[in-house]
Amino acid sequence: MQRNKALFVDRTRGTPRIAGYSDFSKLTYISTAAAVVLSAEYERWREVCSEVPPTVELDKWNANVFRKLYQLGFFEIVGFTPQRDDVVIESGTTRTMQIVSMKNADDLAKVDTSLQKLGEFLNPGRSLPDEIVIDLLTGLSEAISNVTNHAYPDDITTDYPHIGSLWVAATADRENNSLTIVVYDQGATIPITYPRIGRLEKVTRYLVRTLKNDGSFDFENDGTFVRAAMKYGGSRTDEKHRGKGLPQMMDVIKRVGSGTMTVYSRGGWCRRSKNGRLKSGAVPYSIGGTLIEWSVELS
Amino acid sequence: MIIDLASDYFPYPSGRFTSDGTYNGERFRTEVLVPALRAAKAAGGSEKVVIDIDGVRSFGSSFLEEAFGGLVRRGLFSRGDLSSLLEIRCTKPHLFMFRDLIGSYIDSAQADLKVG
Repeated sequence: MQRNKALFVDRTRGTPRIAGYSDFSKLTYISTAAAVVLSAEYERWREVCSEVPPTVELDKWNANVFRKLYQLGFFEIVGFTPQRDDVVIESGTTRTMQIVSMKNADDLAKVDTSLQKLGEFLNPGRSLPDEIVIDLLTGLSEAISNVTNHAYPDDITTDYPHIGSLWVAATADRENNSLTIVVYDQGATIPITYPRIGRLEKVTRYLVRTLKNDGSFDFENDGTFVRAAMKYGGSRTDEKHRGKGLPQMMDVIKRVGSGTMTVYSRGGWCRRSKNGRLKSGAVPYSIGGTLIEWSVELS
Repeated sequence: MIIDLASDYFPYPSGRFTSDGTYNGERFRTEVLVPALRAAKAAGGSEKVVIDIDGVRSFGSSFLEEAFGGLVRRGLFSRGDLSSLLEIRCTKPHLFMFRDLIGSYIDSAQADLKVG
């Protein structure tokens, strides 16, 4: 921790020269998903480069952005604990659990404990219903299995060195009595790994029908691969008993009731909306891995 | 014999193999289920192996299929064997679907064997 202390730059007494940094003072909002991706990126920097990019002018960061990153544990990854007299960390209508960085499913108990605390935040004195927590942990368990099985294959090189981790975090929002749970990895992504699965005939037909040969931008077909993975599942071995992961993750939302599940992978995304319909799309830039987000409205 | 999956194994069993986590389906099958079922079979099937799932907090399909479906898929026991030797016990209604899922994985594994 001590080694990173110098990377907090106080510019209030002048403007020291800094080789490069990201200016977060312009942000007015950060989603849990974006905060998780950001924190994971900083952890990768820390592990691979033994240092992290400097954080600059923290006193100018939006209070809500600062609070969410603080609750998430972003500053612990950066390596110091900033103080701001004008921001009460425990205030606000949302509460975010500390991010859990893990290599496999052994730390699910930590997530369970954190979800219980978020439930207490939503309804003081009452715990989250067991059936909802168990459903969410079941979905997470499958998501983690997907990561350990598919995200970091030895024969695929990612654009940047990875640290073989996955990250889990969640936010409770009192305004709409909702929980948002996020799991993220920095692996090879669905658009890269899904074409390698042993495909059932119907999946092949779907892909042939839907994929565009003359894409107008990078990653244009990525949404289709994500959608196919959510719709059909599938595994590299084409064994019938495998490849149920993503469809089972969607079952969580079906059981819990009102909610959505969105999968972002490289440039593609696909969302199962409240009415059960899938909608997908793509953007010409990568999220740097795969992120799954459940948003659950509690009754 | 009663095996409490949560306290005798782990409340958060997950994944198929060691790479997925310490408390994976393959390990549960080989270290817990198979020895218990073999002992029950050797004893003439007079006493069932009861797996109590009430305290479990996650039921990933990878774990359930590998642990229970794997018994049949790997030719260790037939569905008929398991119907007389194995009982999945739960008292919480919201866990019934996972109990049923275990049964469906055993059925599917048997069906796949026949097709194969």
